[in-house]
Amino acid sequence: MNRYRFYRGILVLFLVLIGLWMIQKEQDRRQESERYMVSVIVSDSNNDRWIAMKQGMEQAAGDFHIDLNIISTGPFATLEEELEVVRREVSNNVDGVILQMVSSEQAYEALEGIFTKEAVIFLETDIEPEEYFVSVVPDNIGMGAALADCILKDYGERIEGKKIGILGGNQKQISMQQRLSGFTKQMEGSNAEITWVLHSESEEQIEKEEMLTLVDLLVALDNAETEQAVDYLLEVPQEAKRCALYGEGISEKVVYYLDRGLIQSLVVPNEFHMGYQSVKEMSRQLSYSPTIGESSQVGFLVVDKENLYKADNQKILFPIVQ
Amino acid sequence: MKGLFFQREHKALPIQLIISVSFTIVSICCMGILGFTLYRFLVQKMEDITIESSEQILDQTAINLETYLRNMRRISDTMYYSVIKDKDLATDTMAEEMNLLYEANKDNLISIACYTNEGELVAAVPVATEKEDIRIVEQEWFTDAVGRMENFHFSTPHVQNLFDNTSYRYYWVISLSRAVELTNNGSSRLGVLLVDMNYSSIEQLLKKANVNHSMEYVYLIDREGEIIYHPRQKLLNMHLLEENNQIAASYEDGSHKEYFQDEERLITVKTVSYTGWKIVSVTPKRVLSMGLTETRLFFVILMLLTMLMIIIINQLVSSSIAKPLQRLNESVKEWEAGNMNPEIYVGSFLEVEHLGKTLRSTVAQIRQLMEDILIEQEEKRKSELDALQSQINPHFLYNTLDSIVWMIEGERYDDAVFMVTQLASLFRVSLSRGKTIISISDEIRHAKNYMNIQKIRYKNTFTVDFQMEEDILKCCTVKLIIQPLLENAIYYGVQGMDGEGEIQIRGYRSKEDIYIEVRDNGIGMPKEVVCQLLSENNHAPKKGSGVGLINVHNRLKLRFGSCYGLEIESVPDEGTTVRIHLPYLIYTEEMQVLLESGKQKRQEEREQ
Repeated sequence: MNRYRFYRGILVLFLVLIGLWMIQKEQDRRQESERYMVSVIVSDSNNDRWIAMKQGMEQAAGDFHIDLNIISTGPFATLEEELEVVRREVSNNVDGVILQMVSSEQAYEALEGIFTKEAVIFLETDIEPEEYFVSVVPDNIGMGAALADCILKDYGERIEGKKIGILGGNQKQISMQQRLSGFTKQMEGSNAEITWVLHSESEEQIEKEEMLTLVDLLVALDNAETEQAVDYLLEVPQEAKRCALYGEGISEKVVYYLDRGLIQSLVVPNEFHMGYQSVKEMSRQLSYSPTIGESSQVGFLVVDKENLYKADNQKILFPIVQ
Repeated sequence: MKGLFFQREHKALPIQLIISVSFTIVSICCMGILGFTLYRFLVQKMEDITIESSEQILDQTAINLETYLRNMRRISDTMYYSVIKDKDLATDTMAEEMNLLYEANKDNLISIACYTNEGELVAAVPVATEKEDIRIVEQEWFTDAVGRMENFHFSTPHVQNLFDNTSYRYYWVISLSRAVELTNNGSSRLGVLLVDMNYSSIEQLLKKANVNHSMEYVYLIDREGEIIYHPRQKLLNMHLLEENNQIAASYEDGSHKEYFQDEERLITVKTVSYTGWKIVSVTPKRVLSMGLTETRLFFVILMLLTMLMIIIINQLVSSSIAKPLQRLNESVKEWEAGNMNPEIYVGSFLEVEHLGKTLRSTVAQIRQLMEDILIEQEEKRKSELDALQSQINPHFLYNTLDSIVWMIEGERYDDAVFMVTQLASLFRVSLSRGKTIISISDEIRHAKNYMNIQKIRYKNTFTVDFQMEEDILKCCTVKLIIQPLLENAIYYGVQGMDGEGEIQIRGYRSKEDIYIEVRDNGIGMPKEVVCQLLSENNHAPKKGSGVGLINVHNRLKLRFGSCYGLEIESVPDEGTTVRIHLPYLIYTEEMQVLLESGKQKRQEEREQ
């Protein structure tokens, strides 16, 4: 009789184990199906330039089961303005934040006090010191160099003595510093003269006409600067014929003016990939460990009026908008 | 090893265990086969359902797509046959009709345009400025239309590059182009009609097919395998993902299995009529496995539960079968343990009832037989006792009468009278009205009578001393047990000692026992002889009746039990002491009857 009780006990134990296993499986399944909340904070988030990046993020959010919240923002004038938005999002108990910092300087100290357990990924630009956070950025140095290559290719020997004006954008961002350094380094030995470099945060105001008359080539290192340069040239059409514009950007406006011939060449970062990669990396961090992370670089495209409609370029440049 | 095997083989197992285990094994085997078969059936069914579901989705998508494309062709046909063919470009304008057509279908259209064979724009809706420096004749849709004039041509998705849009909008379109015949001043010339379909409309149609399918998806390719729509198209464009579209273009309509990037996939293909486009549904095998994991788990749990139930039911069934047999077995065990009147279980099944009844009857018969044997044995013992007792009387009578004869012959009449008187008293006690159990006082009287006779016979060559405690005189004894001892004391002890012989009879109580000692100071015996005296096969020299000590010893044991009887101590040349060991039992009528019947002894034996 004892033997029967023993067998019965074994069976009951087996059933209990099966039950526990099922509960564990169910918990695993729930954990797997658990959706993380991630906020995306970029400057001027409604700008066209972010369309491709948002598409990439949304694609990745679908693939990796992330609830993405792209915060509606205007252009951030100061770091503090941006940090205020970050604090607000962190207080909403988000699991992670994808950030495009308006300034790479002094950001680390400020962010260290804000983030406790949230995963953080920097978009487009890193901050100093670079090794503490994960970032997904374009090859900024390469992009600057690519712009220089376009000029050198278009002008060849004729570059000698040409005056170049650079709209350097927000030089508080490491990305912009890298682009500028990439460009200037590549231009070294070309005998072209960099007449001026204008930073967006500079207090110095220069008359547009005066600026344009000083240079033969205008180089804009980010989307906003390129759009601004386009606006300059549209306002002063006679200078537009003389002054060639080389820029960086992805918005429909800059692409349109590339198509129109106002922009000679355009360096386009693969923002879809950047958006996708950032969310993918975020998912990896949230699912495994926030301490493990690897910064990554995405590529870029160099387009001009001739190759704008090439099939491969079309697919990257033009978002499918309904 | 063989021995062990046989040992195990012969080890009897409980019937309940055998029944339970046998049923369980058979049940589990059947369930296993059934479960596996059902599971395989289910897997096949699920695969069939998946294929069927994919085909349904594809059919529906293909119908929607064909309807959409048919509408586009109709627009093109209407534009060509109802507008272009009726117009002379020199005099007429087609703007109004084109506009009407566009307005009616503008949800699905980006533009309608008509070009001459030299790429000159004839008309277009919506009205827009044509881009400068644009080389229409080099665009793919144009070359296709001019190259194969009899057909419609559907392009792959591309960004429209025709008109200037100051709102910076660029449209993804699929161009439907065809060669048309334009009339100008009565003469005809070649032209191209272009209907740019909004790619978003096609995208929407296919997106519907991809709703709620996280891992299963549908994509659209043209006849060369170029992707027209894919749910993860951007990733493909950026080479972050790969698709087996080139191979899929070679598949016939229907379901196929393929291995792509180390993954088995179920592919269902449906060709869209006229265009040659193919809608491809992809179901990774792991999707089926994921669904099956739950099913497998469900099956395992179901089987385990069923097994548990079967085991419990088996136990109940086996218990109900085995229980009556076990109860019958318990009855037999009780009987084996010595209970001669066990409660034999009778009931349950017919067979068990029959066995129980038979066993009950057998037990009753055996009990009766044993009782008969007991009575028989008691009778035998009684007759044996009687025989032993009857062995004494002739022996003693012979000796006494011999002494009387000897006295009469010696003319010692007073002594002879005394002897006869003593003999009469002795016989009175001996007879005791047929009793075997008498009081010790009677027995002592008998012994004294005997010794008086013997003293005369032996001319007072020895002395006799009786020292009896008063307390024991009223107790029970078997009659005629002292006299043989006295006889032995005379014959083997003091005979021939010429007045120095002493015989002492001492009776006393020790706790619940009585001891009566007969001691002489005769020649004594060696230890070996003493040891043989009380054994059944003793060869000690016998005088008198030849019965002697063993007779008395056996009588005491038979009557009072094996722990009673005689004890002999003897030292050569110093004397012999024979000690009678009796239980302390007060002589009453009841006790006498009890002892006579032998029940007292049996009771004591049982207690021991």
